[in-house]
Amino acid sequence: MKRWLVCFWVVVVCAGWVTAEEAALPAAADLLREMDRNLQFDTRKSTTTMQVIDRRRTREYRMVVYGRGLDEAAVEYLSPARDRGTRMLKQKDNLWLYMPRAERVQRISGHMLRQGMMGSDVSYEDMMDGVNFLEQYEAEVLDSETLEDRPVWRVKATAKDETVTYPKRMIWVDKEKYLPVRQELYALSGMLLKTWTMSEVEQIDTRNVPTRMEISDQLREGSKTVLKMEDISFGIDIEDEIFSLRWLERR
Amino acid sequence: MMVWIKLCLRNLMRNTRRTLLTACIVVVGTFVITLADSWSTGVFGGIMERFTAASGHILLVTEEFHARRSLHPLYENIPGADALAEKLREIPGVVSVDPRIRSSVIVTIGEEIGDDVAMLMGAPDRWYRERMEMEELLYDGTWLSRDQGEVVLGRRIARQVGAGVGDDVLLLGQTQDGAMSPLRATVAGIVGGDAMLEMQAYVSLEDMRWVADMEDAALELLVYARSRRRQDVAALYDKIRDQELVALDGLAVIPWYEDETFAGIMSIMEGMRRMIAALMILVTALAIFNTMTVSVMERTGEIGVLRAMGMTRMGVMGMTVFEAFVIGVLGGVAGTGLGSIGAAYLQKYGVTLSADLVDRMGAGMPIQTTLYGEWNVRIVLHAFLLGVAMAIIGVWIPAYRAGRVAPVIAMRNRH
Repeated sequence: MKRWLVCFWVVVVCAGWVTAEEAALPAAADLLREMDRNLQFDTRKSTTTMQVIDRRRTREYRMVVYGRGLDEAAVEYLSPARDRGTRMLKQKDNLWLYMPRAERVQRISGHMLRQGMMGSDVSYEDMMDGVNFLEQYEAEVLDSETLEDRPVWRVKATAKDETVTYPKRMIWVDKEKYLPVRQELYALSGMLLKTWTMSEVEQIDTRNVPTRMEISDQLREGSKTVLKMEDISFGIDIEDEIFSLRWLERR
Repeated sequence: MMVWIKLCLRNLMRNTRRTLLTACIVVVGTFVITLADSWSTGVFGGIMERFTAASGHILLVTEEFHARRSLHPLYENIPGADALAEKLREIPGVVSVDPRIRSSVIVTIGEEIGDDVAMLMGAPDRWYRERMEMEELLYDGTWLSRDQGEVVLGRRIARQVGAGVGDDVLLLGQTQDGAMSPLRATVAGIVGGDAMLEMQAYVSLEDMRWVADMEDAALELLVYARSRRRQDVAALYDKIRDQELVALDGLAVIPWYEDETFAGIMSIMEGMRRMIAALMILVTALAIFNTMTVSVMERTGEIGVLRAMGMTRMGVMGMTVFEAFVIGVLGGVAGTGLGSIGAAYLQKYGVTLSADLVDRMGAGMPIQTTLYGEWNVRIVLHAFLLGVAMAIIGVWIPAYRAGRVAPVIAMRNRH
């Protein structure tokens, strides 16, 4: 009888602990909202260094990136000499590319969107997709764990509309910074396509901003791309022309 | 023996219509065999010639590229290819070494990047002119005259994108790292007349190196021996493998006869050639055999008289076989003579097919729109001997059977 009583209390205590743990999990929507607050902006300008590392060599690109909301972005490559002056413009669902050697503005569409930007692990499609987590995904907080000595929530996000680039994401959300410090991006079939990490977080104004991102295309063996952002400024005035086709060909 | 020959000649002269008819069949048969053999040898040889000219007598690529050649990985290139080519040229027996880069590009003439894909090739100008004889394949315009900014398009890709000579086209390719890489070029010319060329575009090696971001590298090194003959290439291949002058670590050295793609295509082509040749020979042989058999069967009665007069079975056999031999020789000479005239015509002028037909037939193979024949002594001798042999085989069985029939029965059948 005594043994049964001990067992009963053990079960009750364990159940209570699990329930308490579940109760401590935040609402997924709140996490997505906080992430969006950190990652979205009205206007932004930064100087970014993109390092593309594969099995054979490492290449480095320097560029200025302009952004206005989720729908507009412009990129100008500063180096290397071969690519200096190459410009890209995103306007809602359209992406244009100006390559000085070609002296022509080209619209990127179809299968070309899935190609790596400058041969990196970041595709043109990635650039096109401004992610609005709360609007695009339904999420479920799975558990709490530690990732590189930091406490994180593990969140499973499923796209409301399956036509998005990554219909499924596994997101590790930093409990203090509310940033997706690690993401696994999956195809609809469940195949892992990319891993995307964010680190070296800086507080700029009221938001936490990751200044280093590491993207690894799982379909490209031994390849990764590191993006380092410097001179980041938010809420600045950016001339309208930068987000126009005219800017692409401007000398 | 002399009696057989005399009798045989008398028989031949006695019924000239029958003799001429039988000889005509041999003439037609040997003519057809000569022509078919000449044409298939010429077409087959032409494909071999174009293929080995285009891919080198010996091909050097990295082992990694060779292992994944269907994916055509640009990053598996040969760094320092120019210096390596220079060293390879010092090996005795090496006639020339040419670096080459090939990569698929999107060819576009408007603002929107479309889906018209071509294989862009960059190689030294000398290789284009001397090995590929590209100037002779120009359909419109001229060959590349500058080191940069010009392109020659295959006829089909030019038609597909709507580009003509003088137009500016954008060739959108990739660097060896997979970055988008554009090349703007003016169409200098359009080439056609070879199914392999139709969907290709040609630029200078400098331009191609810029597109692929390769500086002094190349994807392939094409090594040429004195001739494409297997023994010449095999000898050079052994020399390259055994020499210590040039380090070939990490490189695959492939003579043309060991190229898997080529071997696969050629075995199919050779199979087709043999099948066509065998069919022609069979049909011709049957015609000769049939005529010769009828010719002997008609004379069963005469054979009976000769047997009654004391001619032995061997004598009957010998006489009819010699008759067949004479008819075979006469018909063979006339047939191969006429066939040689036809073969010479095919060798000089060829048969021109429509570009669309060749494109459908060739599907990227080095098949030219004008298919040339080839005349040589082997072809003539082959057809002549086949004609004579078929004539002799044609009379052998009926002559043997006629010789075995009793003279009385044979003479009774005469009436």
